[in-house]
Amino acid sequence: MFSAIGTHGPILSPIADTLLDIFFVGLAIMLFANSKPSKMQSFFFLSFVCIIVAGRVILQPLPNVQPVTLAVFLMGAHQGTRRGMSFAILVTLLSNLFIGDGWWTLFQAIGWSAVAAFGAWATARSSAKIELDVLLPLLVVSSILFDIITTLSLIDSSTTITSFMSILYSGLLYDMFHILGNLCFAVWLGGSIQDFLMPMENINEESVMAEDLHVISG
Amino acid sequence: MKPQQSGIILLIVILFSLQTMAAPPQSYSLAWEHQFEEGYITTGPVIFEDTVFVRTSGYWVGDERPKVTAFDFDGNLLWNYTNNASTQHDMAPLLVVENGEGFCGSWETMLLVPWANGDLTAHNVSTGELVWNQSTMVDQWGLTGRAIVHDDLVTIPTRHGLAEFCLADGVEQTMYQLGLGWRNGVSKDPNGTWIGDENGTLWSIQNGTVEQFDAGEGFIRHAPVMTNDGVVIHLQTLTGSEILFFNSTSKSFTLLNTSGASPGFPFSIGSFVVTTDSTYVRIFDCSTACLQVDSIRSHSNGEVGIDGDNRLWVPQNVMNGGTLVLSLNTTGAIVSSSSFNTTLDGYSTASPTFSTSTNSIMVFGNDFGALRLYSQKIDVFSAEKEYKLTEFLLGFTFFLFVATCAKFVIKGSKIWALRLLFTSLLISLLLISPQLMTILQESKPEALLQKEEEFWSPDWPLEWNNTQIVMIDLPSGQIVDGGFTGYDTVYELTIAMAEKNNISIAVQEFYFGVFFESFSGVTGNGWEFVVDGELGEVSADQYEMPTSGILRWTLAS
Repeated sequence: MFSAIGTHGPILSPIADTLLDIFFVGLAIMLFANSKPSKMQSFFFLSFVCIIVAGRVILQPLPNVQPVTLAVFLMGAHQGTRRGMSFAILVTLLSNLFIGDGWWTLFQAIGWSAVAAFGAWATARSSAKIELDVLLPLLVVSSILFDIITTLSLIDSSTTITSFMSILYSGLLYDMFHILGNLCFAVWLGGSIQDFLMPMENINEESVMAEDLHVISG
Repeated sequence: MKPQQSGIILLIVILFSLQTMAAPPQSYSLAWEHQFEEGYITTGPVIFEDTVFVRTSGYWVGDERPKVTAFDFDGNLLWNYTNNASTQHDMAPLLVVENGEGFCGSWETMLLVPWANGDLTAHNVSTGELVWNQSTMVDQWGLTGRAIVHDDLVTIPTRHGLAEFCLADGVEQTMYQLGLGWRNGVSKDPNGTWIGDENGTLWSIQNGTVEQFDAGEGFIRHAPVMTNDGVVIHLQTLTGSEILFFNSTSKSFTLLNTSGASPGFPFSIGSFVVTTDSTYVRIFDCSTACLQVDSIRSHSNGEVGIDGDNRLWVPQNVMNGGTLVLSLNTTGAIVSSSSFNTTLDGYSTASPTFSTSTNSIMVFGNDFGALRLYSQKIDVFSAEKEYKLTEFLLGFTFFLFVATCAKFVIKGSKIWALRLLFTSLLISLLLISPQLMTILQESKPEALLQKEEEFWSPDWPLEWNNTQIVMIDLPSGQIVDGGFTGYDTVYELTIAMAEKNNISIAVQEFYFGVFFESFSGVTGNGWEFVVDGELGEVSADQYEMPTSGILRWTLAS
């Protein structure tokens, strides 16, 4: 998946490319498996991955307007850091298969994983719906966090602090698109996504409770 | 009404407004068509009162001879006149002369027709009846350039110079032996009469004194364009063309720009001069010095029509080309461009002609001998009115937006207020992004300006020095080509380089500009460019390419 090269990144050999792919897919699976999901949760999780990948691919013509940041944030907020990061990695790898892979994929995966971790940390893995008053400012911060991390992919041996600041300045408009796009998704889809993610949490709790009861009764 | 319903209605209105903005600027519909059995129409028809005159040129082979035909606005044939002595190359524009009186006598309104066999004929506009006929010298062909009328004389470029005839009886008054000419129309200003020739010489005749000025190696195949301080010519060269300004005071030429092959007929519109060729339409502001204001990609090698709203109708001389319609603002910049397409789209050099009495009639013909008359039935869709309609709709939408948001806030539906607010902001940001990009680029702090010099490679040919050079960093290796000149934007230069090197490209056009999606099928995460080390922060079609510099395309990170 990483075989394409970014001019500002290293050229990856096919073997290094494959190893990196395996590492990331393995990491995503491990993180998800460690969160001990039920079969139903796994199904919902993968369905959600597909929906968000499709959303990102479809919205590609709009510059930097993509639903991934919101989805990753909420996944982290409601399902925890591990599932959030696993979700972020899978969405990044799969969507970039359609819209272009390269050195940047690594930074996008890290960026969205950071957003998922931030979501889990900022909301203390909320079991209730996050109010818009809280969600919107957190999304602005998440968008900026992601943009800064992905800009790091542009750093090479010739990059100075000035040139890095220049690159950040050049991306201001696209950052604005990203922030505003996320706010739009949040007010239109935030509630529905949270409704979708909350039952996953409940399913987990219910299934654990059922298993406990089964153990006790057994 | 529920907040959700109000919100959805408002969104529909916003989308409708945006749709209206993108609507084409004209609404001409076909009234009738006449298909000439044989012959090209390579010269724009002429409309006089309620009559349409059109000329056909004979094919290069066969027995069909060129003719002039008159139709009324309903498509009924009024008369036609065939010149059996003329063979081909009949491309000189027709000229209607209204009735008058002069030194040689008086004349009725007539149609002047220059012919390739050297004849100049005058016809009664109502009947086509020959009023008078004069012959000029023929050298393979005779009259091919645009004539002009002043006082009681018609001045016409001949094969070897120019001649003046009395309008009343066609008697020759003066004749000048100049250079060999083809399609070299004549112009006149207070400084005299101007004409170019096939040797790249610009001729001036003032009070009987003939002067000649060498514009360079090439052909002047159009009427010189008169400006405040001199003359603009579009010199056809062996490799392309040169747009030159001749200062009539210092009597020297200045190169305004180099451009593509086969120039069309340049012309002036107000203080602006417009040139066309196989690559661009260019607009020069000649109010003081002639400086290029704008350009747009186009393939036009003939005439350009101007409608009542001062829009330029530029026939595209390519298969399925249609007509490019351009609107200029007061600074001469192109503010809108659209395409007028019909089922007859094809090679064409004849401009559409518009009725001067009403803007509701347009006539055009093409290289396949098809003549069409279009009428604009819904006058409300003229450009100005449509602009006002769009302004009104946008204003109304904004009012509706504010009112609806206020209603939601008052009613306590914060979520719908936020939905409308953020969606509107996002749409607004998308719409103004081209301007924002420019503002951001211009206001970039000095300390952040990057000037990483692209170093000249010793491997490159010396001929590339002081030219435009393009580098494309493909995963399989770098492709470099240079020696390009005259490309105004990164987009144009890249297209030229890709065509020359057979590199397949894919572009995506957005409202805010054109972006290169792939080179040689390599997509990556998009492509970005640097020009002389400076990162391109606007789209490729909006980034001005310096006359010499290094453009480098790399995969975006």
